[in-house]
Amino acid sequence: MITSRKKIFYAKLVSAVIIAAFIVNYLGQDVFHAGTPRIRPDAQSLILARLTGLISLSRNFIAQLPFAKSRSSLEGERATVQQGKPDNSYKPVAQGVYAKEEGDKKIKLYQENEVQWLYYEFDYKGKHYKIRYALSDGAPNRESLEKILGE
Amino acid sequence: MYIGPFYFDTKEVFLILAAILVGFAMYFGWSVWWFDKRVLLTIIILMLLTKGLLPAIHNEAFFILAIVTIFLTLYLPIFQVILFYFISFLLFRLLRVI
Repeated sequence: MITSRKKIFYAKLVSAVIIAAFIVNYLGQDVFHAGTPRIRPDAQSLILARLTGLISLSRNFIAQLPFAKSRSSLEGERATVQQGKPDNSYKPVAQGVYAKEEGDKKIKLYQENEVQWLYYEFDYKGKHYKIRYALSDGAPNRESLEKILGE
Repeated sequence: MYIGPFYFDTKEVFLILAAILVGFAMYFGWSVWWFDKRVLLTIIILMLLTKGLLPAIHNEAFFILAIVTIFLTLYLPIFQVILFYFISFLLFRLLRVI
């Protein structure tokens, strides 16, 4: 018969192995270069992008909760896509994404060639929409998109 | 079993035997299905080193980790397998498994 102490031991052992597998999977993709001990030159920006992606995911999740205030995420925020490098007033926040604050307004600048773009496709009122978003921003919220389209 | 001043338990003797067998397979060109012989030899050497540093009371955790690591050599590159092996040991220590 397996005692509770033994059960805890096996639970810890299995969870340690699973966590290690996840860490290795993450490090293998974002930090090291194709299964070698060499660190990727863009590792820092990839880690930053992954972290901001996680933060925006959690932000989207909180925004979807029923008690969260319904407010457009674009309020007080302006986003621009451009080709050239931004001036020094912008600070990098993710791979190819720069931001600055002007008073109470936040200005985000996306560099066309540097940003990893993803697409979000959905149907609304019989029309098909395809929306491009930066990997670091996370997938857009369906409800807020419908609100914008409905106006 | 004593070899000179060193004491080896049965698991360590079998690990050494496995290393010798893999060495023979490499030398004589015997084919081992699916597994890469160089990877296996590297892993066995690392396991012998870590087994030498671990007290016998932790044999069970070591055995499970060894099986998982050898299985992972089928799917992951050697660097990631070694990383997995050492990160698992670190987590074992943090979670007080060993």
